Amino acid sequence: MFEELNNIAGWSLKNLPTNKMILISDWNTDASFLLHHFLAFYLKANSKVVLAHAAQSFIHYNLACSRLGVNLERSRNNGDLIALNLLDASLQQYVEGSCENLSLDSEECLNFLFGDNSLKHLFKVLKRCVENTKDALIILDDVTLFLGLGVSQKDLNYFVHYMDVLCKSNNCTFVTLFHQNFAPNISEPSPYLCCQLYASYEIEVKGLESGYSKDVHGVLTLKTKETEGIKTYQPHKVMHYRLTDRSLQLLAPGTSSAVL
Amino acid sequence: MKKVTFTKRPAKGGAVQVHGTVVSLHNGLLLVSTGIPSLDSVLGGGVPLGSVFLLEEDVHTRFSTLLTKYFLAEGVTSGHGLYVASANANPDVLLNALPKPTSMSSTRSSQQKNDNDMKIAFMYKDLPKNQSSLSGVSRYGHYYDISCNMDKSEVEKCDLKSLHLTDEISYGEGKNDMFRYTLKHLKQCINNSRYEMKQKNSGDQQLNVLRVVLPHFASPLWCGDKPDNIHNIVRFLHCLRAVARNSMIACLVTIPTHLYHENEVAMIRQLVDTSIELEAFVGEKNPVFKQYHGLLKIHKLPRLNSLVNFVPDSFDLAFELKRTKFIIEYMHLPPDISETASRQGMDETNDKLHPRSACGGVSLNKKLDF
Repeated sequence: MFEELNNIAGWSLKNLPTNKMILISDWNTDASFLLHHFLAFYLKANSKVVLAHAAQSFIHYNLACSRLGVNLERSRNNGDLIALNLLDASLQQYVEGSCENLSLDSEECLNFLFGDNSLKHLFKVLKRCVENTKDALIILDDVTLFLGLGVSQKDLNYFVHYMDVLCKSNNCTFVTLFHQNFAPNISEPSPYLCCQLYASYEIEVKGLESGYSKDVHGVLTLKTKETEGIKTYQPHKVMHYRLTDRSLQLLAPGTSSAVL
Repeated sequence: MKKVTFTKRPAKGGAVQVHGTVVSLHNGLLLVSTGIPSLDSVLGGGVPLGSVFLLEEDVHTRFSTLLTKYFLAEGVTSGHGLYVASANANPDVLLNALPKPTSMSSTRSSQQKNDNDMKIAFMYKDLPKNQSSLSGVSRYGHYYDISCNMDKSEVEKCDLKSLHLTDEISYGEGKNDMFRYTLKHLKQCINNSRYEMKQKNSGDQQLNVLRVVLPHFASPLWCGDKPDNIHNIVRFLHCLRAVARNSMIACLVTIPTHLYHENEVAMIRQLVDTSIELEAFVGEKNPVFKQYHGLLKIHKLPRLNSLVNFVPDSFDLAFELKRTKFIIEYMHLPPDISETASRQGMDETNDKLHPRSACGGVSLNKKLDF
């Protein structure tokens, strides 16, 4: 887990963000390291985590998170972590036309997307995973992939809305990753704006404007949307970041050791 | 635990030994060579096993075809299995024109010479001789001579599977037929073979690497003129990644990305693990690039099983094709020359960039006159 990011955002093991949607967005880069942060963070806080991964295999998360100090395999065996292998489910459905259950311990089939090209079934499965638990975390990697696979923007917007309602009713948190490269169809509402609408926190990751640098890997902007209280002005926190094998270093812009 | 992407196991418990592969120094993944040693060093050792490598073609496809041939030739030299699925030309055409390895005969003769006894450093007798080229150990990464073709007998020793997607094959109904057919065919080849990672090692089949090559993928022959082509391509690449993560394969896909819209290309790049683009110089060359044949652009580097990835020293890369080598170098642009007088070797460049003045001397941009 990235301590510095938690400090900046005001999160800690005792003060987990709950009831919220957190959007991680990136532009021309890959912000999936933040997903590992949330995985490690919530597992260390002993919350239940549902990881629906469509972009990478489970081993990837397991090995990456082991550098952060959590053992996903063990959490999966304990029941703290439910891993929905959407990658393999998609393959099985593509090749065979239907798919048997790959990772959930129930009889229900994970035949979600490609039957009717909407995300209704995926939503039902996620809902079933978090009912009767408090303070759970749902991680979906990643949402733009569904757009590429053929889900319409309208359906994606509905899905995000449903997830938001689920968070508020079940007291869980939803974290997802959005790649901004995808240019929307102008006639339909943009999915990025829709995600931004529902998200209470947005972490935006971009490369440096001046080009690639080995010391500063990019710019990370934390946008907080406070819905309670009378505070009306919420400045965005802009930081430069440097990613190492085990941690994320956040620096105020211009204070990298390479510059000073 | 079933490991789907390879990491280095501790030396005690039966490490996976597959010929033609190397464990990465950076993150412990198993890597295979691309067939071009300098490209291997740019990528951090090679292509990780279980990943998809995208080569964005140059406009005339001359160099991308060449890189495909190098990849396949490396598979033959390393004893890997080969799988080629093509819609444009018959895969056999590609397989019959693989370049011949150059260094194989020379390393064998040099090893024989090395028989003299070393009295003091006897422990080093069995180690391979140090090579100063970028490749390193001679068993991984070879050089090829493109003027000669590889012997057919060598190619036939490998486990070859090919698929030629012609109009004669009936793909069935539905939208993404050709793609689905190819993936099913690939999956059938992998199932219950030595390329599949099984939980219990059956013992009789030695694990081997399968090199999957899809040349000119997503060209108009693959897609036709359906409006939702990009979804079919994305779906295929997504499922290909799922297959790759569960087997011992290294995929090379070449796509003519110049035919696609920028956002579609961005979408495609998200679904592959490594992406490089070749931009060949055609027509009049910029004299600064006089010895190179084109630029190599890296769009994505593989980040598997870890938070950070390997990054080469510089992203300004240019390639040059020689008969026996394909060289990729860090390109050093000359410094901006203004008032400094003519330098050795830079005169030619100056002449072409600034026309000669009437009096015959090289005109210098003298802005300040002291």
